[in-house]
Amino acid sequence: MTRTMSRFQWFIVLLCLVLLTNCTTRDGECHEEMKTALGCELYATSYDPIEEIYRPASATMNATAYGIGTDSLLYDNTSVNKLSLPLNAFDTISQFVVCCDSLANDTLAFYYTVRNNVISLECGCKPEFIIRYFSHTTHAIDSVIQLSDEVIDLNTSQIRIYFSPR
Amino acid sequence: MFLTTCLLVCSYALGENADSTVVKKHKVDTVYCGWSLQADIASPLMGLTIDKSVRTAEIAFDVNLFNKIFPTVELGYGQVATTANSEASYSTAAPFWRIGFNYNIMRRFDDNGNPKPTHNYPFVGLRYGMTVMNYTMTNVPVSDDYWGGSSQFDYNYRNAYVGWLEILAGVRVDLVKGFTMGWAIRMKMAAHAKTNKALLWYVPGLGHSDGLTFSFSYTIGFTYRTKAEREKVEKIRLEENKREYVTLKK
Repeated sequence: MTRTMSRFQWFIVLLCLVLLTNCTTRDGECHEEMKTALGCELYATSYDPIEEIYRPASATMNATAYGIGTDSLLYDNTSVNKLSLPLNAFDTISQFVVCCDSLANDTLAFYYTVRNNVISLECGCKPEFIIRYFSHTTHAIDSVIQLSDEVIDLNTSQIRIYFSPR
Repeated sequence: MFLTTCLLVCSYALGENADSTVVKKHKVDTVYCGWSLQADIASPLMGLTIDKSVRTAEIAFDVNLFNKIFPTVELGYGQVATTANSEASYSTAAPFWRIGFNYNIMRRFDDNGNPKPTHNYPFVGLRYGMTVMNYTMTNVPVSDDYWGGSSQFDYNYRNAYVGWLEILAGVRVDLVKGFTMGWAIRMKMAAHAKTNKALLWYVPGLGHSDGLTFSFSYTIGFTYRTKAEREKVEKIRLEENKREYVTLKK
């Protein structure tokens, strides 16, 4: 009987340890990332004298960027190799002016559909975007390729901008 | 880490006489030993005092087989109405039910191989729970910090099926004249839902649907034992009294 009661007491102790190590509480606050942005990788083309070809490579540039229709700058001559451009959740088109390394300004226009994804009661909805097509000017930009059409977070790159060789 | 600690609890509780080298021949035990009807009083009390946005009530019926396995059916009703800090609201009201069993982890036979009646015993158990619910989520916000603007959305969903698994452990104690009390701690995990789980802030019977949830139940009820079980209890009580008398006399 003593040995059985001892085992019973250990059962209670182990049960309490399980509870203590696994208790979680909800504080009513949102702890999820609710923002999304279009990721733009910056690539510059440089001449390789050994192989005598132009070779594109990821480049760090001093970038200035802002959305057309807003007053606030996204980047103000900031040294980056990737731009994060927030798309308008209440429209189907967003346009941005981008200038890198004091070259000419270029305009990028993105056309998309918006999908409001419910994250939780505390967080609300996170806007996600499906890029349908895009267009750009070619003053300093040579070409733009699309890597992905879904914009669902802040980390993924969706387009790659190649600047013309200088 | 959680799975490791759970396995430790279960393996320790289910082990019997690990150091015994003699296999005792047990006498044949009765199959059907009675039934029990219990009502949870912890959930309604918590709904009235601590978290007034959630109201739940449930009862459980189990059958005693071999004083070891207790197949169980539980029925309940839950009602939720809450507003989050984001001003979004969630409401639902639905019945739920669970099927499963409890397992008595105490020894069933004494040193002479005679079956012992079950009065106060710790147990572990498994359940499968399910509900079909209608729920609404209103004023769910979405905003755009850079371009400006905000909006709100409403969601209504009907006949959403949610199934979940539970592992539980607890104690059942006899009081007097068949009345019993007990408590149990449950670990719950949503197995599947035919709806967007992010919209399921709270599921009646399960709780919050994201990840693992824990709940505590405290039950009171009535336990019926068969005539054979009652006679066994009486016989053992007489023998225990006789042994005590002999010990005192010495």
